[in-house]
Amino acid sequence: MEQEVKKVDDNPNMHPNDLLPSYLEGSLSADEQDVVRRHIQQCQECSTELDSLAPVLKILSTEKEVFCPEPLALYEFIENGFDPDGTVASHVDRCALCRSEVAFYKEGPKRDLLPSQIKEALNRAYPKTSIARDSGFKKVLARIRDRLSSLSGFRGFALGAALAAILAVVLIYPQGSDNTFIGVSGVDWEDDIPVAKSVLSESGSDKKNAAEGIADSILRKKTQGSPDPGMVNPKVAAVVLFNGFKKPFPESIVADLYEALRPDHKLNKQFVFIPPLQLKNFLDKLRDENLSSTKALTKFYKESSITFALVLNVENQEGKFGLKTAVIDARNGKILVESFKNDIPGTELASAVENSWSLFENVKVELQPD
Amino acid sequence: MASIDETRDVTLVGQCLSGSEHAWSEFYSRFERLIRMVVGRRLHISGDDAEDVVHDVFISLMSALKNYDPSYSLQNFVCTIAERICVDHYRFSKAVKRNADTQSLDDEDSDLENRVIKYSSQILQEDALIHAQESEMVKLSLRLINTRCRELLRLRYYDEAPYSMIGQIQGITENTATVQTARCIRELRKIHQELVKSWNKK
Repeated sequence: MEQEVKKVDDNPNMHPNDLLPSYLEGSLSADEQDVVRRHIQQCQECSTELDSLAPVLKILSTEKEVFCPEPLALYEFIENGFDPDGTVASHVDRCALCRSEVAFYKEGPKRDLLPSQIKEALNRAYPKTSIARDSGFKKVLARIRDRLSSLSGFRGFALGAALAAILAVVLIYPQGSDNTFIGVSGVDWEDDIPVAKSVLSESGSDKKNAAEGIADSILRKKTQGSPDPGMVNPKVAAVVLFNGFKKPFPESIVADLYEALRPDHKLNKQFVFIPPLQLKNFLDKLRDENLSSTKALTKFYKESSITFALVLNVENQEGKFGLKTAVIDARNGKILVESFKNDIPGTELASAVENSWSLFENVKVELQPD
Repeated sequence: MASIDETRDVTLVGQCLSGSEHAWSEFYSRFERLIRMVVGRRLHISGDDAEDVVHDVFISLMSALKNYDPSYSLQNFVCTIAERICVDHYRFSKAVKRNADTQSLDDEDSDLENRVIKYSSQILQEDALIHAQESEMVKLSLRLINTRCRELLRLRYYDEAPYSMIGQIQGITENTATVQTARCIRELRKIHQELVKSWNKK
């Protein structure tokens, strides 16, 4: 720096731009500070430059946080290990603030439930249509949660070990070799809505909704299987498959999953739903043929004239469940839309299953005339 | 072909837009801590105040999600919305402070000491907000400057390394390290000024 200072001292028109930060930091020698100070006192341009540099330099010197990685970079680092040049990891090692943020992210309380404020906003943005359905399904879900919790013995479970102890009757098809089992159940969606009976015990305005629910179910029973002439509603089946489980699922749980899949009134107006009982009866007839689950389902779709299938693949994920949900065009096996969810606790499996029909909203129906 | 993650994101967004509470629970669980990080960093608040802003972000996402472009990552989109809400909150806070300052003294407590304390704390709060905003501008400027300058400035001002050590690390002389760092500071200042100018236009 001595050379630069000398140049400035020798030539008053030479601006000490490269010296200004050091001048502000006070890291020049006393003589060098004097030279620069004298110049600044006589040079408006350098004086202005100094005034503009000072606040930036102050922040750089005093606010270490400005060097911290952005929240998104930290998120990618924590979630995906993304740190191509190692700067994030290196910074986190040295920065107490970032280290505490990473620690809180990894070990802090995980919030899974929607706060009431957000739930209310969600209900305003997407109002629910039927109180009867909600309250009834909540009871079904509560029943399923209780059953799955009792399998593990505690809420946050070891399902594999619990399943090994179960001696309940198993209704799983097939005996084939592809390690995928079709869950079969005697659930018949054409029965009266169970929710109607339970809601009747509610008080006040829920009774009115319950009455409407019963009326709708009666109407549905009259119209199901006998659509208006000229109107062709596609046939839809729901199939629950189980992958990677060493021991089969109890029938009661399979039944509850299919119960959670019971389609609502809105869907019933658009599609003809084949109840799980019908799938069970069809597969019972095929037991002697020893078909794989894939072939058995293909045969079921064809012979029952199914147009769409909602297929739920429940996977064993070391004590938790994975759920792969797909809407399939049963006429050609094409997957129309899919969704995945991993690491589902047993107590939340039914909730995850319940919302599967929402995938249908993304499906464009192309119907062939009869 | 979309990756599994991209497919999952699109599917999740689709389910959220259909109003699925379960999908929104998953969305909340996945992004709540990221949004909390953004809010904490940008607004320097925590606790209930941060909670309110985090909720505002999710509520805003209920309508913003329909504009999600799958060619960008979902976390990137969520971060952008969170930053926008933080900016709104910052501007709202500034406006509230500005309006409070223009209130007539007759409206305030008659006790002069209390009035002084009240205005002092208001000034302190406003100062804190202004300072936080300036820091954010410098931080943003650091993101926009070239990589080499960012590294030099990090060595000098974060690691507090002397120029001799910077020179050794970079393979240059001490004098060159000093000159290059000075030029990077000036470059940073230039970017900072442009950001402040465009911010003040809004």
